[in-house]
Amino acid sequence: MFIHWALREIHLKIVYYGPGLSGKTANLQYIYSRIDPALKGDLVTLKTREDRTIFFDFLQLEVGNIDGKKPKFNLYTVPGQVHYDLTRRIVLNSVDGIVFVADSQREMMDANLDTLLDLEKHLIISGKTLENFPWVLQYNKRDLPSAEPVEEMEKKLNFFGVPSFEAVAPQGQGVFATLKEMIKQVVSRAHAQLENRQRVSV
Amino acid sequence: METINHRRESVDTFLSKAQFEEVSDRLSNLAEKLGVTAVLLVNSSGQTIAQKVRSSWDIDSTILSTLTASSYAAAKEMARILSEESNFKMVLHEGEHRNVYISSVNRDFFLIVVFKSGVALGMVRLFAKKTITQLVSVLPKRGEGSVSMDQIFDRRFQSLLGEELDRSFKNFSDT
Repeated sequence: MFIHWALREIHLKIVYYGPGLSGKTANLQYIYSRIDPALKGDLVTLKTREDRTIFFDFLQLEVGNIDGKKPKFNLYTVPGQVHYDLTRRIVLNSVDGIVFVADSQREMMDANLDTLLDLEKHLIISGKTLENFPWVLQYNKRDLPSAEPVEEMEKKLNFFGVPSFEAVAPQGQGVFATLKEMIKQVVSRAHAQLENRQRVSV
Repeated sequence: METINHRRESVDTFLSKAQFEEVSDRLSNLAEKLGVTAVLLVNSSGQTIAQKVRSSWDIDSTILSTLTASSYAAAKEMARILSEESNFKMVLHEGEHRNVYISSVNRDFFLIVVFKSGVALGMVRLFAKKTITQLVSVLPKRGEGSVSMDQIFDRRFQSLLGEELDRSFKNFSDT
C-alpha cells in the first residue's frame, strides 16, 4: 500500500496468481475490455512469442473520488509456468491482495495445489501467510466438460474458507464479482491495519 | 536450489504534502541542471511519487514507472544471483534517441532520468548522485509517517467505495 497524501491517492496492489494457462491474463483482458475508459489506464502485457506471460500483465483501475480520496488499484498477473518462480516473487513485492485463479479441469488439480503452495512459500518470505492475508479463489473454466465439481475444489484448495467464485473469464462470468470482493477484502484489511497502528506524523 | 532464509517486512509507505513538495523541488532542480526530458521518483512497487517532465512529454508515467520498477527488481535478483552484496548501483537502457538511467535512492525508492542521447552520461550520474543524497534526507523511512485511521479507511470510506464499485460494475451481469 502506498499513500500519496499530497494528492490524496491510495495505491493498492492486487496480483492474479495461479498455474499456467488458468486464465489470469484473461481476467485482466476482460476487465480492460469492459471498464469505462475514464477509469482505466493501458493494459501492459509482457509475453513471449508464444503468447505466454513472461513477466506480468498490468492494469491500473480507478473508481473516482471517494470522500476526497482517490483509490487506485494496480492489477498484476504473474507468469504461471513453473520455471518463472523468481519472476513471481518479484511481482509479489508489496502485494496487498491476491486473486488465486484455479483451473477447474480435473487434470489440473495437482497443478492448482502446487501453485498454491508456491504462493504460500513466497508469502512467507515477506512475512505473510495465506491464513492472515487477503485473498480470494476463482474457479475458472467452469464451462469445460472435464471441470471438477466445485465442492471438490473447495475441499482441495479452500482450506481457509476464503470467498470463492465460479468463472468463465473470457466471457466475463465471475470476473467482476471476484474483483469486487478482492477490493473489499483489501480495503477492509487496510482499515484493520491502520486501526491497530499508532499515529506517527502527518 | 533456492533456500528461504530471510523475511522482509511489507512496505507501507506514506508521503506527506511537505515531503512531496520538497521532493518535487529536488527533481525540478535536477531536470533544469541537466536539461533532460523527464525525471521521476518511483517507489519499489512502481508508483510514481513525483515527476518533472518537459511539456512535450506524452508518455504514460504510470506504465513507465511500473515497467522500470520491475526492471529494477529483476536487476536486483540478478545481482543477488551473482553474489553482489547489494543491487547494481545503476541500470542504463541505451536507445538510439533516448536513454533511461535508473539509480537506487534507498531500499524503497529509485530515481529515473530520461535523457537524449546527446547528454553526457557522466553529467547525469554526477547530478543524479547529488540529488539522491538530498532525497534520502527528505523521504520517509520504511513504516514511518502513518496517518490516523479516521482520515483514510474509515467506515464511511468503505461504504462509499462499495457503492461506487456497485455503480462502476453494475453493467456486468456476473456481479
